[in-house]
Amino acid sequence: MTGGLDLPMTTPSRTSLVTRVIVVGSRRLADVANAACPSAEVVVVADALAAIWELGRRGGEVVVLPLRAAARLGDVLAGLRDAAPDARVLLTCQPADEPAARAALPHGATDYLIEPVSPERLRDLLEPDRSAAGRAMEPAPGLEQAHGIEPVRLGGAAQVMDATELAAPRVAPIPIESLTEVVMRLTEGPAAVLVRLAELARTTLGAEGIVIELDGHTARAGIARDADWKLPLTHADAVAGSLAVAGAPNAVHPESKVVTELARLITATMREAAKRSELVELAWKDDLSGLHNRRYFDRALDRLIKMAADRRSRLTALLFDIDDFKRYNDRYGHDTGDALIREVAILLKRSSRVDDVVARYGGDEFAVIFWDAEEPRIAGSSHPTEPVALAERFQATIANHHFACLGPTAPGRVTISGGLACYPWHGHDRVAIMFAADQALLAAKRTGKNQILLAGADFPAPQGV
Amino acid sequence: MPEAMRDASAVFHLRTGDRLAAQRIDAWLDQENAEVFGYGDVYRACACLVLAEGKKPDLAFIGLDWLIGNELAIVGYVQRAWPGSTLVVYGAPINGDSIAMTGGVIHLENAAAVGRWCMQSLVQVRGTVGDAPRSRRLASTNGQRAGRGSAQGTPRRDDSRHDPTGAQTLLSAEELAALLDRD
Repeated sequence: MTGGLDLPMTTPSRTSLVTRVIVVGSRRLADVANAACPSAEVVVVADALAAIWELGRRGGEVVVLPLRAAARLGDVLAGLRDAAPDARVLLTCQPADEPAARAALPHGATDYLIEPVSPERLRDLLEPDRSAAGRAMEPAPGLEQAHGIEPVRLGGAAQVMDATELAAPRVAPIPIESLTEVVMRLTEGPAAVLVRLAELARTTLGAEGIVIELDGHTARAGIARDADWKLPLTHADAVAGSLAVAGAPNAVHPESKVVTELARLITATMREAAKRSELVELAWKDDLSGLHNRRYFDRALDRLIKMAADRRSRLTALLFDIDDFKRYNDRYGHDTGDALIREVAILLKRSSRVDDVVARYGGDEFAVIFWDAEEPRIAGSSHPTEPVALAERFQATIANHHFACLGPTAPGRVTISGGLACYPWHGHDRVAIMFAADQALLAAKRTGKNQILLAGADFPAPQGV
Repeated sequence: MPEAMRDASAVFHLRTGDRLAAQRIDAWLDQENAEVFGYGDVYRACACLVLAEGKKPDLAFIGLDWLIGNELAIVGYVQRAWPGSTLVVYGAPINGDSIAMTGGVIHLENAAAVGRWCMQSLVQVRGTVGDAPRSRRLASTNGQRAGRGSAQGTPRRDDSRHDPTGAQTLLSAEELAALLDRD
């Protein structure tokens, strides 16, 4: 099974055996490839560039490429295709990354496998003819019970099947590695967990297609076709969703033990994922303003800088605070100061774009990450101006807003001062970017307040100098 | 294989550097009527290397600015594919990644160095670089980086990271001019 849904198989039909497999970056995948195809030479290379070099120089029929090992996947696939047009490029990916793997098929990937990859599943792709022959020898569906086949075996150890085993009906063991993966990645959130659970269910039941609907999320695995049967998923004696199964062996039915246990596993795991998700949200949220906190901001900035480097795109950080905030605190009290922070946070959210990361950085300091959600820019592009305009728009919004919490006795307008710093122009990591933004903020304070300055610009002389 | 690859005097250009520097080099190559085969990404360029089958250019340019992580290995692959060619790299990796320069690499670190390079004729360059000391780093004396605009507020990259061995030569403008003018 290749993890594809309703996509045409692009694996070329061939009769030649695989003699050389190039595996990118993963010793474990190489072990799987060795088990799947013992007669082939399996070569492990460090990265995608080395794979192209190895493929072009010494040849090979198959490249196994983990999705996470190729930051610029389109370019990598084009290079592999140039180096060896007939080679098969098999991607491996986490269940949550399946859409990205599927999207790569038209760009040169032959097929993809959901991790963890078993030797059996890899062999299906490495030697399609042998697998096809094996499938041809399978008895027709419905004979499993007559053969007394137990639908599920415990223990996930991969085995190499001989001809006798190939002739027997194929029933997958419980993929214990997949279960471990689900548990280890609960923090990714209910939607991603449900995708993994769908793949786990499909493999465990030996079904062709699975659809799980639960707690407002939907996940699919395998091929898309009408379900043969559907099982309600309950939580606290109430129906919370459903498990729809297509193309499972006859021994697997809604009343079978494996199905009821699987249903319990799915609902319990999703409950746990939801709890974890709430805890994560709490850990990343600032209670006073309702915005993300600094911990979240720092993580987001690290991640987005890495992405910007990969995509050759820009990124801008804004750091600002409320001018003379202490004065408001002293005059109106801390409750009013808190209310002022809440109102500024609301204005900030309203003025930001959907993808911008908005956070309370600490005290009366706020921070925003403006980043490009669109296509990568070409190298050496000019300095961004759009985030500057966004920051100035926000500054004007604050200055023109009537803050109800200050009442009619407010001492003039509430203003802010800020600093902007851009990747890659003002630094290559979070620390450098935030340092540059902070320096610009300090310059804005020193030179009159109520302004937002761009790092690296010629700062005006301090007032009174 | 690109048509230009059949010409032993062809020039290879991997345009993954600062846009202005890459344009400057392309304009220079065009002015010198050089046969150029260029690539915009490192992976297709690598495929080109392995398909070259003994054909090789005598001069290769690689822009470093937008290469990340393991992509910097392309420098080594070019050297392995075309061991006799003169390899010129320009700019610096955007992530500040270090790059180990082995023999036969000329590093134009900034816009001024690229500009000076492009003031020479291709014939002059071909006549001189073959005799040049191995692995040189060429920089202007004012420290301005290639095409990066204002350096104000920009954290300075530790140059020693690009020279882990400390064995490379940093030329003054005068030394560079002397090297390039030598006939």
